Amino acid sequence: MFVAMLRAQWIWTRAIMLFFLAAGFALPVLSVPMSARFGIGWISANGYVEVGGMIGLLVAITVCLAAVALVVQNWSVDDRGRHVYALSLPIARRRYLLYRLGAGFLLLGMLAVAIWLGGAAASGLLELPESLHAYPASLALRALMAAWLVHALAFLVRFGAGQRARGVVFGALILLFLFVLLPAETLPAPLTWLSLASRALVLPGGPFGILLSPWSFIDV
Amino acid sequence: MTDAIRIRSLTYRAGREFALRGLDLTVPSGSVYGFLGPNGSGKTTTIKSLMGMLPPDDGTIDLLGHRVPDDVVPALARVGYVPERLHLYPALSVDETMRYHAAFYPRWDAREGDRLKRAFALRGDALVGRLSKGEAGKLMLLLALAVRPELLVLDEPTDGLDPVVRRDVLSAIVDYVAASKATVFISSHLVHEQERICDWVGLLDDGRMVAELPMSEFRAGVKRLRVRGASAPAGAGDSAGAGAGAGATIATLPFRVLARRTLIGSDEEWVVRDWRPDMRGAFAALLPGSTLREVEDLDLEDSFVELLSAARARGQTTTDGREAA
Repeated sequence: MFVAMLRAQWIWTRAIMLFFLAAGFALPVLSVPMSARFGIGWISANGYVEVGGMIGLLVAITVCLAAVALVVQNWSVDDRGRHVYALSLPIARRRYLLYRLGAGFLLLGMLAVAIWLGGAAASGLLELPESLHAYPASLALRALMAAWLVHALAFLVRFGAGQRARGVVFGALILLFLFVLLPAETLPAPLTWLSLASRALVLPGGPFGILLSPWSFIDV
Repeated sequence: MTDAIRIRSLTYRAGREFALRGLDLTVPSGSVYGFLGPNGSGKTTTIKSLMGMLPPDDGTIDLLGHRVPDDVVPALARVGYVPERLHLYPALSVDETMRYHAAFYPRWDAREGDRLKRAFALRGDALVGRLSKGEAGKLMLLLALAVRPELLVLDEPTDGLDPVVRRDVLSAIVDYVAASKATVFISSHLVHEQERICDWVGLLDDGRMVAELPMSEFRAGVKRLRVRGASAPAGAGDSAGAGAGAGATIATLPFRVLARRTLIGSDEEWVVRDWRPDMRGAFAALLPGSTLREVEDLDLEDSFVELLSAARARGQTTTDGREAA
């Protein structure tokens, strides 16, 4: 059953997935010509790190977009048929949703593999100063974790309890954003803990830390 | 014999409006049950409730012995379902759709699926999204039949199909039922079509069951009578004409008068149900002073229209039929 759902999900998302797979492979490889622009041999280590950071940011955006696109595409195929097909199949709804989520995770795993392959190819081509290293595996792993997190959140919002769930999640994200932006000391005392809690969520080590902390393909 | 479908006091609200109002419905196992009703009467809502897609606000639904929606999954594995509209994934081909569908049904018969695909002239590599309406209808029926269902639930399966495809679809249903003795629950507003294949009929109007009875009783029992000398004010349950004997009213007759229309002179046209042939000879005794001039058979469509009209004229539809029949 799961294999059938995975195969079907691949069929109806393959155009989107192929695009993201190509992007996932190409982005780390892009670091090679981007570094070459500065001239190999005299470019500073700082320049490499900047290029690595830019590639990391592009990879982060790509995986987040891929995760959301996958959920939207998956939802729309059922939405078009008013969910009649999915609901008429002899499978418990919870199991059906878990399989759908799992299939999405596996497809995003392919994207992580593409990023790793692209990163590995790029690191073979790059001539880095001795103090710097390329990290294709950790970039791919980070991309995978971030993609799964975004996919799970988007899945929850899209397949959750309709508009109510969407409203709650959307409202929570706005609050999170506000409390992260506002320094704790500017808030009234009863709200200080909310600011601290929001920061704990998005700073490295927090559950959403993987999304907002710096991504880098090339680092010391 | 257990009932394949048993619905009691089913109530469902769509927003503020009632879609189903205390619906009672029973489909005996092995029957071909025609579920008739005008557009918007609640047929599709009933079927979606039956399939566990819409949780009832009140009442109970038993599908192949399983309570719906709590225990619907094992029942659905034994049901072949054709919805009103194409619900399959448009990006999959016919073969991919068959493989996908098969994965959910332990009783899937791949050989039967292939046979039906050939019989329906469906191309395996054709995308579902590019199928014509007729091809899509055939594919949905193929999927429903290849799971070797004990119960076929068909929601307007021939609506909008051309006569050739409609004949193919009906033939496939009839062949399957003949071979498997499966139960069929088929909703339609194409009354003449139901008349050919159904042995039970239920009439739905405004979310309520107007009548539910075997097709044989429906065919034999609903008649149009031409009566002379029963010139009481129109309306079922009125007193009989001036010549009627003491206590003889239309309400006490052994058949039910659904509708009365005044014709030329003192003639009236009555539409009645629960009519039996022996009543013809005894009519004068049943309603003294009146004469039965003609008894005309009604086809299912006329019966359907008359029953609905009568129910609406009464101002409310009532659950009767099985008990009353």
